[in-house]
Amino acid sequence: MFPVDPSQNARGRLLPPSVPFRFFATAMVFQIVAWAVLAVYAGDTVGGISWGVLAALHLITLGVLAMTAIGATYQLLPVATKRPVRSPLLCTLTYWLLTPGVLLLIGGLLGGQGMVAALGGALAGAALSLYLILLVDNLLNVKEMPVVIVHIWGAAAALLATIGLGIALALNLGLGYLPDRAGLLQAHALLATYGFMGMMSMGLSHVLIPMFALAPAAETRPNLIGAGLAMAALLLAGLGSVLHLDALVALAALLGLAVAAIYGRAMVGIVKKRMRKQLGFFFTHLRLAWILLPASLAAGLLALAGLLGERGPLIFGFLLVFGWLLTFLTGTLSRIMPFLASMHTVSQSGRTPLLSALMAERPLRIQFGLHLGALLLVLGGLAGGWADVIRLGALLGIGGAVALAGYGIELWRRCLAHIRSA
Amino acid sequence: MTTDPRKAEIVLDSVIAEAAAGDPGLIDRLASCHPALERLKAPGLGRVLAGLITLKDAARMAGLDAKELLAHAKGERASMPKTVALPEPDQGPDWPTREPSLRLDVRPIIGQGGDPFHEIMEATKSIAVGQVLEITAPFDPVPLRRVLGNRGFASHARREASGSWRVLFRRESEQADEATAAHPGACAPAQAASSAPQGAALQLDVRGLTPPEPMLAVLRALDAPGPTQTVVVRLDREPVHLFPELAERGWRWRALPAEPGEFRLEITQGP
Repeated sequence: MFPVDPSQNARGRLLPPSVPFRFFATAMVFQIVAWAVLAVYAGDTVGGISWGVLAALHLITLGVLAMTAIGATYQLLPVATKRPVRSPLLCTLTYWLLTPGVLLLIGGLLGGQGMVAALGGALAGAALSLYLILLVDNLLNVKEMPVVIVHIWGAAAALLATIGLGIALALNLGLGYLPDRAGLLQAHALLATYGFMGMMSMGLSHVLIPMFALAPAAETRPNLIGAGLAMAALLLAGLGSVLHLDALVALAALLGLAVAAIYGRAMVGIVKKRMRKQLGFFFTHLRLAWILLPASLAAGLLALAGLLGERGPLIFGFLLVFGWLLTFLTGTLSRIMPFLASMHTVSQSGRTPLLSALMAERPLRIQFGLHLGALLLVLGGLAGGWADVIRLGALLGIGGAVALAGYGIELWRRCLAHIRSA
Repeated sequence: MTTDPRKAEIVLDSVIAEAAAGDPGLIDRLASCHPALERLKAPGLGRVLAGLITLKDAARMAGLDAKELLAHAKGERASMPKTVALPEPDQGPDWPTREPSLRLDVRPIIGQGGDPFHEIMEATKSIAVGQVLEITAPFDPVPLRRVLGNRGFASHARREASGSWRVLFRRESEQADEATAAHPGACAPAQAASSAPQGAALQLDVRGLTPPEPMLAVLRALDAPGPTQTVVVRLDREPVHLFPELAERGWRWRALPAEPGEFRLEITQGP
């Protein structure tokens, strides 16, 4: 991948660039596939959650969100915690377990092959378990940046529960031993999205957004309270799901809205106090994502009350996964990739490239437009029960994902051009 | 008996952090002189402040006799420096008597360990040419006055009978340079560059600060106008997020030998 200047890496804790960029590149490919699967199975979505929908959902959650989060935290967390990752080899192993795991899981779901899906789920579970071990190993005894670290601890706890439930559900696809899987499925979905990915996104926001905006970090106390409320909400959501107590799940959603308010206030405060005048286009993604987080929670509450019709759970899930999480991750990824590339790229004369020279804004603007169009059309299609509108939205989603891949390819091209320069 | 040469060189223009490098007890002695100087002991920000103000600045901030503070700092005098009535060389002809357009009391923020810089900068945005902003602070915010001076404000400070300071800022001209909006960190470091002796490297110790404060402190110091060509920064960790920002601003950097657990960086201006 990106050529390494050994002197840049010798003192720091940056992993070889091949480690994070392998995750990022794969995530971009999986996003294209996810929208394509949604386009193909658009007709099934009108009838509710189907195997095709589950496949598209897992392509995003495992193939894009988890893939990116793992690549980013392997690279960035050690810098923040001042503790190197235990072994770069184990980081690479995570990738080689997760990628075939996702492929087998998706293939099994789409092909109706329960055992194949179970094997894929088990492999993905093993990858996430390995990641969890490395994550916890890196977090132990870290006392700095309490807001960030507490959120990530919350994400780690949610991931542990997600993995356990996920493996049980995946094996059930092949063995069929669970008498009541609906509650476990809901708990797994909520803990994976709001728990692992949500807590990770919010935690990393507290260090990355101030860095991106050049602003002081948000206040510690209210955001620690926010983290505590988030963990309480996740516990209630998990228990409520497993025990089929909708009141507990609703309470969790209300707590979640409070958490979103605290988080949103912190992010707005950071942006308001920034030193950087021009924030960059990727902040448009972040701003949209910050709106979609409470929107997803509100949709969840409405769906729980039966006010969104039979496709309410799908609308909620789409807003949550393709809306809040995917939009946030795309914005973050489009800023992290050039940053890491700049750290690992040197010209023949030893110069590192300017970040501004690596970021190609045009493909990102195209991506955002198509992504927003895709969100609106799919949501409209789900609300109205129009398969063709959903398919059209998914096609726009493919276009957006291709534009993001184009952004990555252009970044790669610019890095190569810089390396070849004198 | 031998004398530490660094200790012997302490003068009124010495940057406190540099002087303290040869005399670890210096910060404690200064902090004991006046509540305004207790901020030098604050975790993290205290180090930044010490790296950016001179003994003369400290004396002015606390309203103390500079020579007596110097003698106390050098350990030559046990008794506390006396408070002095400070001259007002920058007093305008009549405007300090005018009614301020806006009043801001930053004592509660500072009292809670906070930094009122953002609030102050927000307040200055509403001040038109000829209008006056009044700030009430627990000490004379000398570096802040320099920052706003570079942004077209004349200032006038007066110690009140209560011990607090009433500082008036009048906008003399439109904001000259946005880049000077560098944060003075605890009402101090924005003029880091000019605090350093001409030609010498500015020493910035940002250890103990929680990210992203170390990066912000460095960028504020670099963005501030002044003669600084070289900045030596002591950090807790390799500032990987800082490097792209330095490159964008045309600064170069290299790692220096450092103590265990420390990362030391030399930042120089140039292509």
